[in-house]
Amino acid sequence: MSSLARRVAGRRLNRIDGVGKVTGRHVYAADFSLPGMLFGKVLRSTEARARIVRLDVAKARALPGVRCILTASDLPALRFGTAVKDRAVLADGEVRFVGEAIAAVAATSLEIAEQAVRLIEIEYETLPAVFDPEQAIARGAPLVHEHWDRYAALPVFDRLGNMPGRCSMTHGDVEAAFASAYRIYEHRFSTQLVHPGYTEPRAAVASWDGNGDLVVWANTQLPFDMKNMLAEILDLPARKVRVIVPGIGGGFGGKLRVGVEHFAAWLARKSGRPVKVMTTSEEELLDAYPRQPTIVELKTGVSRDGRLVARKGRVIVDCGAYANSGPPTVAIALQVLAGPYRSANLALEGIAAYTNKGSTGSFRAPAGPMANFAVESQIDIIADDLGIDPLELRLRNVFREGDEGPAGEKVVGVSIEECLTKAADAIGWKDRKPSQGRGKGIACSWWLTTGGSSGVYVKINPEGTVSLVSGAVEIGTGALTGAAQILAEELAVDLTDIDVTDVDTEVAPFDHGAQGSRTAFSVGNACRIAAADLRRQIFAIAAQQWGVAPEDMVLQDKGVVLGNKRMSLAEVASLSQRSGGGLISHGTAIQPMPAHDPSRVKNHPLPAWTSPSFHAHATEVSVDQATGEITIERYVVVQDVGFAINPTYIEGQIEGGVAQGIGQALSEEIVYAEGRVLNANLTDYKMPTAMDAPRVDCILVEHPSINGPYGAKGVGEPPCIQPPAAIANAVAAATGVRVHALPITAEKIALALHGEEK
Amino acid sequence: MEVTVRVWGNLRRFLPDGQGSAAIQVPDDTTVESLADQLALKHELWAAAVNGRVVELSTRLRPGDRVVLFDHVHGG
Repeated sequence: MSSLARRVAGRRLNRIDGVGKVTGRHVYAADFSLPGMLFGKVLRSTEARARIVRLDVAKARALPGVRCILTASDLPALRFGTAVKDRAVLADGEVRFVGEAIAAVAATSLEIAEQAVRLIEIEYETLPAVFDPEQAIARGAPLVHEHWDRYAALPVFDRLGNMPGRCSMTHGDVEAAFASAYRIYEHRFSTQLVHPGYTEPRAAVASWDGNGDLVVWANTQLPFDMKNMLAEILDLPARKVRVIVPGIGGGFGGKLRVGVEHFAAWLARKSGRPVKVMTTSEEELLDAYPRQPTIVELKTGVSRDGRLVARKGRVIVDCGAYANSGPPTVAIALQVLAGPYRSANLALEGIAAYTNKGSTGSFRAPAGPMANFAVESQIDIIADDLGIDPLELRLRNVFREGDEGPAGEKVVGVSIEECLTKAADAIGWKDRKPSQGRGKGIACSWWLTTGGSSGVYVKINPEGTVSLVSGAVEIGTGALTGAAQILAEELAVDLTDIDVTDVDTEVAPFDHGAQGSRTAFSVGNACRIAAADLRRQIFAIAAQQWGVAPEDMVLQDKGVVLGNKRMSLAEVASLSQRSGGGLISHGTAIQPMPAHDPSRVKNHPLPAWTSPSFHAHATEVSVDQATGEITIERYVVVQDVGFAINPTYIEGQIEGGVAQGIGQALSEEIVYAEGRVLNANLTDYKMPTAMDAPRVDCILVEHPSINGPYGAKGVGEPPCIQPPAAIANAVAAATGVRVHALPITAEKIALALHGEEK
Repeated sequence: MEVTVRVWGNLRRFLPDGQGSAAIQVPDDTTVESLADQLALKHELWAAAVNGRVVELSTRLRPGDRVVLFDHVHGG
């Protein structure tokens, strides 16, 4: 069925959560409070690596209004983590980065809690630290975790010392291919530490009930993972933990993991009162889950006519002091390094490294912008050297339908050629260097639609409305509006007939979470399954009423129809409820892992990508020849979304993702010097504002995926992948200056254009 | 025979009370895949390790094996 034949899916309909959000009535986690609630605050390390030799909370405890103070000695000696269980709730005798939590205070006001934190006395004995990831993995470097080998870890990751994860992808004979290559190019690229930049800080309110059960209201992207992780941290069965997400002001991967929830839960347990903990901007820039700084070394061999014949690469991601998402991120980087290009010979290696800096996370498209910046910058360098148009070089090498992916999987739904061509046409590629200081750049990529299961409960009510209970959080993307559009389509109702409940792990079915470009895709699939079950129920009731067989019945315009017989869904729901039960169904969907060749991958948790999407970005920039200031004049995104469930919100995702990518390309960086963050505030940490974001022209391409609802593919993450590479290529076209290290600041351009003038 | 099963993250919900690990009685010819089926988590199983080594899902289990099951990684 084409989108033209659909009533609801594919339409630009208003989002179901829109009114509450634009009127300010929506309650976010940061707004949430309970009667009698205390306020929590965390004492954070001022040392990058040190032993805590004295920690005295007596003065803080004596402060009126203080109800509870916790240090590591008050908590069980356990460590938590996703890939490696390497982190304690509060530093247990040793701190490993500036900003690490050492003690937590609960008091009757936030001001008293802050004052109490300042009254805690602490003495450190400084220990050797390491801040550079390459130095960290070198022989003889100080170990960030002396007892790393005692930590529990997912066995898929190969760990050693300061490397909490190593992985590889290999195929063919790279060295032989290099030996016969026409030319070989070797480059090194680096990217910086950037914050996800969500609007709402991380916030949680925790409360224990009379049965010893914990309830946490938090702005997490993964309520079920949070429930399980808190159970682990608090040493409870998971059934004793309930997580409710009242509202979430953006996440971008920065709210996947436990951030403040464990502090709130422990303080509430010890104080016997509900406790709220919320981060400040400073804490966000010291101890959140930003994007890993990354070093990519890339060696590519090409034939005389510009075919890629071999690629060798090494990626090092700087996890900071705790592994968190670093090991899977570096694994995903390998697929980004390989594709969307065909290459018969690959040797890619990924290393996650510990350093004495803040821990990092899974910021939107983890590994995407970092690896893509290297690949797509190098493609342009190769094209220039060979005298081939960069667009043409790409077109000669990109995947075609049915090609082998890097793990030997069959790549389907391929549209990269169309994306590139449309992006080039839209930006006016033929005039790539229109004037001095003005240039155009292009970059392309591919990305996965993350798997994991999604469940929904759906109920048709006697008044004909539909209740959708999903375990997925609406994090601001409009994904649940998209899923509801699919449900409405399947049940022949209007989108406005559907009510979606907020997530409560006690009542909602399991969902793998709002992350990885999967929410509308996966919840939408679950809705289709639940709707199919409801149709069976509806047809059976109608068949009984009419004394006919259910064959040939259809749902149409909020009712069931057979020939000239018609009964509204409201009537069917009433009949169903009167006979006991009601129209209720459950749907669960999960994407299968594509078949692949396991001999090509080693220590990789995600060897083959599910339902990949394809995209190309093109931009035109002007560069001030005196100051090096870069202005983005035009920006075009062509993204294959498989099927555009709601084009308006897809375009919103693209525009926002481009703005984030521009931030990474040009201005954002959490700057460290000897383990200290120099710009832990939102004045000196320079995110683009609305004034900095250009108009983005979005062109949606629809090559259906096999597994998505109506062929949809994941949408949310890809838009932030290509901006750094596309802008770097445009800047190179405009100025001749090739920047290998993000961000591409005016200072770097000016220095390259004029040298260090005195 | 008895094997020890440890699950990470979201797979906890498939063990009694949402515990992270449990001793499970299984038939003698059990594989990792059939163990996952027995625990009703086969549809969410992404990879597995036995006695610290990542294994194929068709791997046969032996008495006392320590099995770790994990689900899909998270994105951004």
